[in-house]
Amino acid sequence: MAEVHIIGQINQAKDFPKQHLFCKWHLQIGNNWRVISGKREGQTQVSYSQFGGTTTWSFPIDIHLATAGLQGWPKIYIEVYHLDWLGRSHLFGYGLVTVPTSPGSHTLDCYTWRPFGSLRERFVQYFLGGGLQLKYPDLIFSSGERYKLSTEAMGVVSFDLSVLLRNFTNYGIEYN
Amino acid sequence: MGDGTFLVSLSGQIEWLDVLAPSGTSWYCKYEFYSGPDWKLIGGLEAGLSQIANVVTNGDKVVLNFPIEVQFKSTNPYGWPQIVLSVYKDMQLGGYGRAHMPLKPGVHALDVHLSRPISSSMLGSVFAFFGYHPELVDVKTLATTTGNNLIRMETTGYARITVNVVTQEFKNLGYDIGKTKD
Repeated sequence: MAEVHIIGQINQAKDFPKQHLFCKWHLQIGNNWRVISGKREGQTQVSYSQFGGTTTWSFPIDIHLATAGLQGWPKIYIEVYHLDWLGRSHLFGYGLVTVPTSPGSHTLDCYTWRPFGSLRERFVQYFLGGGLQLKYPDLIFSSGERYKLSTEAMGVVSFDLSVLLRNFTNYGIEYN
Repeated sequence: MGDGTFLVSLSGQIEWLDVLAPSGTSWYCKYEFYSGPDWKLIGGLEAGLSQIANVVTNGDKVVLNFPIEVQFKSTNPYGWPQIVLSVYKDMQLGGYGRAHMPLKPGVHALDVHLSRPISSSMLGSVFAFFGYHPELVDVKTLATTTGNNLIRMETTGYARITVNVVTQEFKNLGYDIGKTKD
């Protein structure tokens, strides 16, 4: 079996309308992939910056995967939330990044979005917060069902990932 | 070797801190390495404490120039070493930061973002006002990612680390880290 290591961090979030953000992440893999060690999902601390619009998490990611095929190459799926002063969390964005297939260190920007409500819903959201959330977050990965959604742009989450491949060349896999 | 182990040698410096540093304050920094279950320290110091650096001019960088020299061996890249910094300002917490060591051999400049916990209760913020800032019981939680859910943190600046990475027997074990030169 070929092995993949993903080592890195969820670095920071920028251009979100508010601070006090946290991020839930989840690694999505295909059926012939297996996690050997490391956590497949997690949640960052709530971050806030005195200095401007960029909040940093530096949240570590370290996953060891084994695979028997290329289908379902790992993707990282994130949900960004804002934690308000009353301790309520509001959805601020969904996003998805594909883990690079070329080994080495990469900086990835994940542009996030959130569901865009009707005029009335947006009015309520403006004054009370909250807003629409996906009932089935699987919609984020499915390219076939996305057309049902109406969305708006939110901020950017940046990742620093190092990808380490092992034994891929033994199977004649070509990359780079 | 030939028994499936590889070696990672890390050497470098904690160069400086870029933080809100008013003149008259003094700063120091503690570093610790955390690595996975298969990793073994074979040389150098896994933790260290810097000198106290005093700030003379408002807003200056806090220059530490603190050397790091450590060697590890392992059979699995899982649990690649992470450095965890705890920065103190006048004996109060100035911020924590963490970063993975680079996988690629060569010289690297790392910016380690620092942040510190903020009080979660009204009483806590009253204490914080009088100088009793909350701290983490165990800074390892930053590296292991357990138990940090919903801790509120604020960014306080960043630390610049220069590190040289040398690996041994890594490529021979079948690992590909991509082009060594960028």
